[in-house]
Amino acid sequence: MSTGAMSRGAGGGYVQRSSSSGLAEVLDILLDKGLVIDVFLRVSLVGIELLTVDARIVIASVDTYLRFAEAVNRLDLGQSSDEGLPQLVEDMTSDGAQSKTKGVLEGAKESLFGSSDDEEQNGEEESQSSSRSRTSRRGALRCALSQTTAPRRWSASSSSAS
Amino acid sequence: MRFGIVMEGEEEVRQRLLQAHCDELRTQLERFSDKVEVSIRATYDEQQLMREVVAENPDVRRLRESVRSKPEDAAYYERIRLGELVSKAVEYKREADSAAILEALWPCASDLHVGAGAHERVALSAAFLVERNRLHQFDQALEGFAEGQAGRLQFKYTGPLPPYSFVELSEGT
Repeated sequence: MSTGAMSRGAGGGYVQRSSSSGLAEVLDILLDKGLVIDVFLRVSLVGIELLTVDARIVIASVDTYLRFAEAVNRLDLGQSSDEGLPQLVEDMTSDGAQSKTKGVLEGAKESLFGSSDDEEQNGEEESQSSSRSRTSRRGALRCALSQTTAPRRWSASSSSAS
Repeated sequence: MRFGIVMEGEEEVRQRLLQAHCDELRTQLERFSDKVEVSIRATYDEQQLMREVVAENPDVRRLRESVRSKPEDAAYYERIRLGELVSKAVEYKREADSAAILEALWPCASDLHVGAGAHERVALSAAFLVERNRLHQFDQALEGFAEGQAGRLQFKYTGPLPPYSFVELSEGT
């Protein structure tokens, strides 16, 4: 957990709340795009920004596929309430698979990025993650990523447009 | 503006920032006067996610069995293919779950900015612009939705925050 995170425990117990003044949270949000815009620089930053958005069409890497394969292989299916998978009951043999599975994707992430919690630290990480092929998203989400169309698209069905 | 800007003194702040951008700053302040930002990140429980992918995709099940029956080296390309199938299945889930989350929360929000999740387990990372007097409603909608996803999706809520993700200032003078 990032150092700035503190559970407020407000309201129900299903949502983890973070201290909004924590440096980690604020940086997390500010760095979401991984791009700094200095309003006083006379550089064609707008052009770069568009490129950055488009460049988030990510081609999944072999490493990521292997991580997914490992995660699904080590999965101990015997624990789940899965009907229709009787042939996999054999997986109930305990070989520590559960604790390993829990950390497989995280562990791989740590070895790549060196972060010790599950919060993203830096927008640069996006380029190394897989399976977020943005152009393949459909419908509203795809529009939401385009900065100009999202508000209009959603506000068509909402009365709370600003 | 995403980051603090260093300026040489009060006079520079007055002239270069405040005077030069007076109208724009005033417009932005009005736009956000009664609104806050809430950042939401929804993350999958890895085990549950894998369970669902296996349960819902027969080709994943088949390939998984095939891979498990072979020594690691022999199954290298199959593992890549398996991972690719899982990855695609997760992508579909992410789309569906993101849409469901947005559908639940959008009615309480004024604006939305969807970010890119930092790793494969992130279902949705988004910033919502919410009117202060609707924040409670927003929170309740989220709690209700999160309760229905317990064990499957974990939600992290950061806010209320200044509208970092929604402020826009144009470049230059």
